[in-house]
Amino acid sequence: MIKESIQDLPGGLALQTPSGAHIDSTLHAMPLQTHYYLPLVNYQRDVLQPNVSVGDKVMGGELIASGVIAPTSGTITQLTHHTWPHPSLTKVKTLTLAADGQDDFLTLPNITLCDDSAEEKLQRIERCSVHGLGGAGFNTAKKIQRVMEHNAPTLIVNAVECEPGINCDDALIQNHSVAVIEACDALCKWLNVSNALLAIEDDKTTAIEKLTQALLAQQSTMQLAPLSAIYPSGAESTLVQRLTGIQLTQGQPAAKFGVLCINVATVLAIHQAWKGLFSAQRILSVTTQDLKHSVNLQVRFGTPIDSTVQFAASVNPFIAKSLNENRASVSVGGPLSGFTQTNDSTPVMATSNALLVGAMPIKKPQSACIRCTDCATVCPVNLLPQELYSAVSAQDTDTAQRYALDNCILCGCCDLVCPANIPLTSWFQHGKDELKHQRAAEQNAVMAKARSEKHNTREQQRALDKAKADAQRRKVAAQRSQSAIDIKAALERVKNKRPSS
Amino acid sequence: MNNAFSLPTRSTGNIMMNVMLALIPGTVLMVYWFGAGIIVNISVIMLVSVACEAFVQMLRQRPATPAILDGSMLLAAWLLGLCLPPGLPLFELIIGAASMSLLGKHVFGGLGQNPFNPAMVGYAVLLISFPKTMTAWISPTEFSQAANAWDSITQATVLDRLRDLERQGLSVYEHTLSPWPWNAINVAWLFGGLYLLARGIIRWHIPIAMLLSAAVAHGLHYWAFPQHTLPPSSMLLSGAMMLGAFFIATDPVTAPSSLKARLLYGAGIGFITVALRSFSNYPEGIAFAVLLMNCAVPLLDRCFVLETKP
Amino acid sequence: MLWLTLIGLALLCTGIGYGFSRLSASGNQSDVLVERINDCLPQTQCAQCNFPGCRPYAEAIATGQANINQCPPGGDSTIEALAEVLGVPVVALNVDYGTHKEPQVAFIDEAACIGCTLCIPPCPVDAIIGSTKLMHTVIAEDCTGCELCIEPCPVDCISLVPAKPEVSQWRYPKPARAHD
Ligand code: SF4
Ligand code: SF4
Ligand code: SF4
Ligand code: SF4
Ligand code: SF4
Repeated sequence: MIKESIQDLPGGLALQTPSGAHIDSTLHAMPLQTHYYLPLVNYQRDVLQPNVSVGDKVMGGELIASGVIAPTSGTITQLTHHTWPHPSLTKVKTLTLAADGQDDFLTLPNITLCDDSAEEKLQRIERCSVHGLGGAGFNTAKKIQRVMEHNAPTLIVNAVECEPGINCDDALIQNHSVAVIEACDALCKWLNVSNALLAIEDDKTTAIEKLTQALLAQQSTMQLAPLSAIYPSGAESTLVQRLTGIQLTQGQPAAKFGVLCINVATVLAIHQAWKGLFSAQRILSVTTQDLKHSVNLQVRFGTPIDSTVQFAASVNPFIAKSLNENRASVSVGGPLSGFTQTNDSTPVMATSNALLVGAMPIKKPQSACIRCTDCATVCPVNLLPQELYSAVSAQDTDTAQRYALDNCILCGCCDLVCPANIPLTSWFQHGKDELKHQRAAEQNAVMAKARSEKHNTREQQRALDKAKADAQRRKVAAQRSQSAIDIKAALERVKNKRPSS
Repeated sequence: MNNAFSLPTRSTGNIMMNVMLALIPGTVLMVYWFGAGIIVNISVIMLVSVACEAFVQMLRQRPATPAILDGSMLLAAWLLGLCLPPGLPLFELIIGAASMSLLGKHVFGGLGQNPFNPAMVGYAVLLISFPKTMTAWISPTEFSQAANAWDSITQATVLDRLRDLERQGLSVYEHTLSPWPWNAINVAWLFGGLYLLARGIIRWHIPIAMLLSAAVAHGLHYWAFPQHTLPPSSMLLSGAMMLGAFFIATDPVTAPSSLKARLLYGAGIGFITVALRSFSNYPEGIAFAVLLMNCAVPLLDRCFVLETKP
Repeated sequence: MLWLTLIGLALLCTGIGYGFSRLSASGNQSDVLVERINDCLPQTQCAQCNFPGCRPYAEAIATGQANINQCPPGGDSTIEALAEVLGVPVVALNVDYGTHKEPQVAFIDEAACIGCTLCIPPCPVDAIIGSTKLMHTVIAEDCTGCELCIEPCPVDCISLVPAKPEVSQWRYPKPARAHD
């Protein structure tokens, strides 16, 4: 029931939350808000088209854009540009939903494990808008579909928190361990999983205890995989490598190798979708910047972060105190990947796993890289961040690719240890983004070139055809006029020959 | 970055401070045996190089204080000072310090950009420009045989002993059997190096590879020409071997990135050092060995792109 | 041992030299060169370089009849790529040919379009669809934003809009460096 001999992470950092940290694992459900803000964008930054217009009444669970569902019933009151929780701090088209207080949801029939087809199950996952709740926000149905190409896949349920200071998965397990195991078993049965693992940090003793009890009670075949609490154990590529030995490079998804690596909250969301429940909320940790106090809230997507933090303050006096000191800003995400956002009606989305009260701390002044290789020592995917840094900052994308920029998981370990305080991870994020755009531009150029070549050959052919046709016509016309002349001449001759009577 | 996790965060200045700390025991021993001239060397070079640093930062319109306070130049100055014979003329010290700072570091763009170890650049410039003073007291025959520059500092005494030995009909080489001050100083460097290893400031790959390959190369040479070679027993504790292995070759800026490349780099330095000590006209092997291997670093880095961890 | 050292160093130098020679070795055949140059160009096909498209411009560069800084849509990155392929120094974009703009696409105001089909032939990548007397429209994914369809339209109903909404264009910014 417990997996033995798990490979070590080849790097990483033992990031301990400060001693005496108080984590509140109770799930506090947020009361219904008056307004919800639903950004029309997915986390790949594709803009979505709304299915509804201003003034429409919607039911909870109604699809208001592809992949976006209404978190409650009410009226769409506005389509405006609004901030969304993204480091770009840009505004995107956002629908405002004024709740009517009824909280009516559409009803969907139950899906049963044996009676309904795989197609229906997938469709339901899609329909209930289940997205990865770990932090990347992938489309879960697509991910599962990829894994279904393999028979007897491996399932890795990821309950390792993304970063210290985030404890939403821990809270979920402590409160719903039986439901979690049920959901995992259902998924295993459906996908005919050969090897099912549940990865969790070994210092989460309460959660592990509850899971063990639930496993026994359910007679589940899941194996617990307790990992030493080294950051970033929860990242997909490192997790898959340690538990299966498969190396995911160049940003390959685990699904390609028949491994379904999926967040524990997402697994529960899938199971609930089959029961007809929409995935319109998540558990979110609100934590003070010093990581000493943390509460876990059940928040619907679209809830403004200022109300969320306010609610957290109402259940925890330390968070209230911290909020009083920093009213202006909130950081979205954990202490490593977080970014500062104004404390306003920016909404919570599927990817928002934590809010930190106050702005992210300002970095110390940086100096030149002394190539001490501390960064390489801690890199969990064996990169040479110092070399990557010099390549990326010199805009040398070829060299950056040779040093496997694609493999970087943006964990931020290198940043933390760099004695020169170089913002390495920000550089890699920038470099990856540039590379992505460059590749897209190259792809576009290739397609445009092909189309232009086709266009040119076609136009040339057309010109050629036209010239040929013209020549033909001219020839015919000439022949015709020639024959006309001939006839005329013949008639003339006949006329002349005929003796005048 | 968030410092809620009590990570032992280091800064560049902090690293340099620790290295200087580790240099203290050996330096104290050197001063004990060779006099205050060592201190004069170190302080003059430090002053001049800091002045150069400030001057360059001024030219580049960048703040000078952080660049000086990061300690990298002071450390390089200290290392260069330890390599020079005491009593070197002042202007030679100034030239050495200036070439170290300007030629060794700033022409390449400052901290972190230099391909060559600055202290060794300074040393090489001095050795080539002023061979007389840099190798003072060494007789022409002795010149090609002397184990290294540091023995040259002791030549005044060793030469005396040598003459005594010759009068007694003993071989030239036997004097080197007990250069015990050097052994003691090398042990002090070794302890400094172990401190750095324990603090995680350097890693074992370069020093161990360098010492091993030097020992093997020297052993081979001794096996081939026992008459003309120092016995291996004293080799690792002679001259600048330990200082080179733990303090000079480990300079992170000029060493390769990946650990395998570092093993090769260290091995290369050890091998070339012994080769130069045995055959070249220059008494110092380590400086040129480090500079030569510095040339190979880009190639090594290219060869071991993704092999970070052993 | 000295000889061994020397031989080792000689081998090292040979290795380095071989590496460099490999780097600079490249095919000289002219059409290979034209292809390599063409692959650096953005394929917008806008003719701003004063050639009737990217490939003609590539041919002109290959035969030395044009400079590498005449392609406004490509901007600095294209110039850098060309400089590398040709082994010539990087120069600034010649603004006589135009200035570099963010990617854009054509947009036809479908209410105003009279269906005259005049915009179809100039489009170098066949991105406009429509038929006589019927509304025309631009396939945004295929349009390169070359502006060639703007001029022929008799009712001026084609305009250029930014290629993608702001948020898709956004990139993680370059962090500040120590001394910038
Ligand atoms: S940790 Fe910082 S200073 Fe050290 S090698 Fe990496 S980037 Fe350079
Ligand atoms: S951010 Fe990237 S380079 Fe830095 S430690 Fe993490 S994976 Fe390695
Ligand atoms: S200016 Fe236009 S046609 Fe000329 S090379 Fe550039 S994109 Fe192609
Ligand atoms: S639609 Fe217009 S702007 Fe777009 S590629 Fe065609 S001609 Fe150029
Ligand atoms: S040229 Fe203008 S009016 Fe004519 S078909 Fe094209 S868009 Fe319509």
